[in-house]
Amino acid sequence: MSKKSSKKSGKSSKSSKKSSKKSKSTKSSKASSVAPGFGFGGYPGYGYGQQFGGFPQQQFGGFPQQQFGGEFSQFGGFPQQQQFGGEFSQFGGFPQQQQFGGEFSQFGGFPQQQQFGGEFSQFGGFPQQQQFGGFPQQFGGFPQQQFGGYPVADGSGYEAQQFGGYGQQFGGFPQQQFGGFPQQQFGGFPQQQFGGYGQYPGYGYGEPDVAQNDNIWQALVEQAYEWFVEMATAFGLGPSHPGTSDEVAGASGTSGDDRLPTISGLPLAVVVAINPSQAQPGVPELLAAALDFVEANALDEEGLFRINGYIRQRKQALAALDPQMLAGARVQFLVDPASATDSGTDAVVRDGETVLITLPCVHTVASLVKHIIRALPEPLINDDAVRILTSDNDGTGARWELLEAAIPFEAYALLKRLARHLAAVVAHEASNRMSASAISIVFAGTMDVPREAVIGLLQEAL
Amino acid sequence: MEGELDIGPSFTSAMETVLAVMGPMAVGKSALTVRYNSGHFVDNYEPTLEDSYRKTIVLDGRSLVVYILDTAGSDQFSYLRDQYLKKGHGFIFVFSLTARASLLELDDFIQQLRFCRESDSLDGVTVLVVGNKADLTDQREVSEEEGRAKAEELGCAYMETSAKSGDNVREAFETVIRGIVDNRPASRPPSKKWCTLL
Repeated sequence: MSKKSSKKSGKSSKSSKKSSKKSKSTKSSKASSVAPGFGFGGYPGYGYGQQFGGFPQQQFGGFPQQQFGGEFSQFGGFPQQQQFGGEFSQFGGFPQQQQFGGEFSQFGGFPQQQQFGGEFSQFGGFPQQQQFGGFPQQFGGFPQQQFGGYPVADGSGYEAQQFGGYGQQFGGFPQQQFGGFPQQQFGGFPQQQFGGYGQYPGYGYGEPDVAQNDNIWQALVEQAYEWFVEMATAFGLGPSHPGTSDEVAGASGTSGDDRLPTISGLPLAVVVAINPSQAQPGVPELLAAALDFVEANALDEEGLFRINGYIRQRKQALAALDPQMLAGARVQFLVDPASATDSGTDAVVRDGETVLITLPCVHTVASLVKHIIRALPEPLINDDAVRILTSDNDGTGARWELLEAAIPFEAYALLKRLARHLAAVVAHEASNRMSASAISIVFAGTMDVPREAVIGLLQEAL
Repeated sequence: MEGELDIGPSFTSAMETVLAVMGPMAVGKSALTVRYNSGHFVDNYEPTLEDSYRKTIVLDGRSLVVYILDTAGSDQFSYLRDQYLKKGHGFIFVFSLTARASLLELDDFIQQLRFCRESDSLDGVTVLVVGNKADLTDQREVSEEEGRAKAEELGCAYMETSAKSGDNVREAFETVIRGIVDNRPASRPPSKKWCTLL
C-alpha cells in the first residue's frame, strides 16, 4: 500500500517537472526547426548495447537534420525495425508501467504474455533487465545532463555541431559502457532473480519469491519510465506534438497530462508488438481490424481511400490510440453517423480486451489507416522494395520472396495484407470508382513511393 | 478610363492574377477548373497532384492573365498548401454539397490561410466558398443555408456550382478574379504612373 501511494506522489512530482520542461522545449523547438531531429528521444530502451554500438557515428551525426528534422525522429534513428522485434518487450512493457504502479493484475491479463514469454526464453537474459539494470545509473543521470540540457539549451543546442558531438558520444558510448556492461554486472542477474518473470501471471509482481526484488525492479522501472516519458515529452512525441498539425487539434485538450505518445509515429515493429493481430501474424491488430472492416462494409463506397471523411474525429481517434490503450487489445470498428456531430462521445473506448473505435463514416476509417501508415517512421516500402516492385517481373510470387528478404518481417506482413486489401478495392472499381491508377496516386503519397511501386504491389496481389 | 486602355499582353505583369482552387479530396476542384478553362466536364476520378492553367480573359473590359492552380485535395500534401496560400491572390475553397465532412474540412483550409497570411482577417485576399455538385440534388447533404452560414462564419462569399452542368462556374471564377483586381491598391499607382508618362 505504502509503496503504491509513494509511487503516486512520485508520479505527480514527475509530471510537474515534465510540464515545465515541456514548455521550454516547445520554445526551443521553435527557435530551431532542427530540434526534434535527434533520434533517440523517447526511448530509453532503444539504443542499447548492440544496437547502439552498431550505430554508425556518421549516421548519427548526419541524419537528424535532414531526414528526421520533422516529426517522428525519435524512431527515425533506428536502422532496422527488426531490432525492435527483440526489444519490444520494453515497449510493450513501457506503456504499462503506469499500470505497474497501480494495478498489477491488469498485467496478468494481457494477451501479449505469450509473446513476452516467448521473447524471454529467447533472450534468456531478459534484455530489459539488463537494460533496466544498466541504465538508471547511467541513464538516470544521463538525460538530465545531456539530454535534458538538450531542449532547454536556448535552441542553439540543436545545431549541427552539437549533433556531431552527439554522434561521437553515442557512437562511443555503447560499445564501451553499454556493450560490456550488462554481461559483467548483470549477466547472471536476470535468470536468477527475474527468471520467474517469463512465467507470468502478474508479471512476477507480488509473487513472494520475487517480492524481495520489488524495490530494485520498481526503482529501475520508475526511472526508466520517467526518462521515457520525459524524453517523449521533451521531444514532442506526446499527443500534443507541435510539429504535426495533424495531431494537434485533436489532442490539444489532453496536452500536459501523463499521456504517452500515440500509436501513430511508432515504428511498425513496435506497434505490432504492442498490438498484435491474432489472426494475421505480423500485422498490427488495429490495422488488420480496420482493413477487415473496410472489406466487409465499404468496398462499394465511392472514393474509398480518396475521400478523407471527418478529420476532427480521425484526429480524436488517433490521439486516443496510445500504446496503453492498444496493448494486447482486440480492435473493433463501428460506424456511427451520429458521432459526426456529437463530440461528447469518445471515439475510442477500451472495454476489457476490446478497443472499440467509433467513427462517423467508413472514409474516416480508411483515412485513419492512411494516416497510421503515413506516420510510420520507416517507410513501409523502402528503396530496395521499390526497386523490386517496379522491376519487370511477372513471375507471381517471386517478387514476394524478394520483398520478404528486402524488408523487415512486419513491413512485409503488412504490405502483403495491404496489397490484398487494395486489390479488393480495385476489384470493386465499378462501384467505388477507385481504379488502380487512382489508388496508386493516393497510396504513393501515403507510403512515399513512386506510383509505379503501388501499381507493382497491386499487380502482385491481383 | 484606364480600363479602356489596352496595355497588351506584354504589360500584363501588374495584372497577373494567381488564383488557387483548393479544398478536400473528391469535391470537384479539377472538374470546376477544367470546366472554366475549356468549357467541358471531365468525368475523371483520378486525384490531382497539381495542375496549373494559364488563361487570358477579358473581364469588365480589362484584359487579364489568370493563373489557375488546381491543387491536391489530399492532406498528405498539406505542406504544399502553404505555398499556394502564400502565393495566391485569390482562392476558391470548394466543398461538395453531397458530403458534409468536406464542408467541415474547409475550416482547416481557412485556418491555414489565416496562419500563412499572419492575419486574423482575410482583408486583401479574395476568398470564395463554393459548394459544388449542385446538380446531384438527390444526394445533397448540405443545404444552401448551411453553406452560406459556414461561408459567413469564415468571412467569405458563397456560391453553389455544378461543374457537370456548368452552372455558376464562370460566375464563381469571375467573382474571385474581379475581387482580386478590385482589391489591388498597391499595384494600381505604378501602372497609373506608367500610363501618365506615356
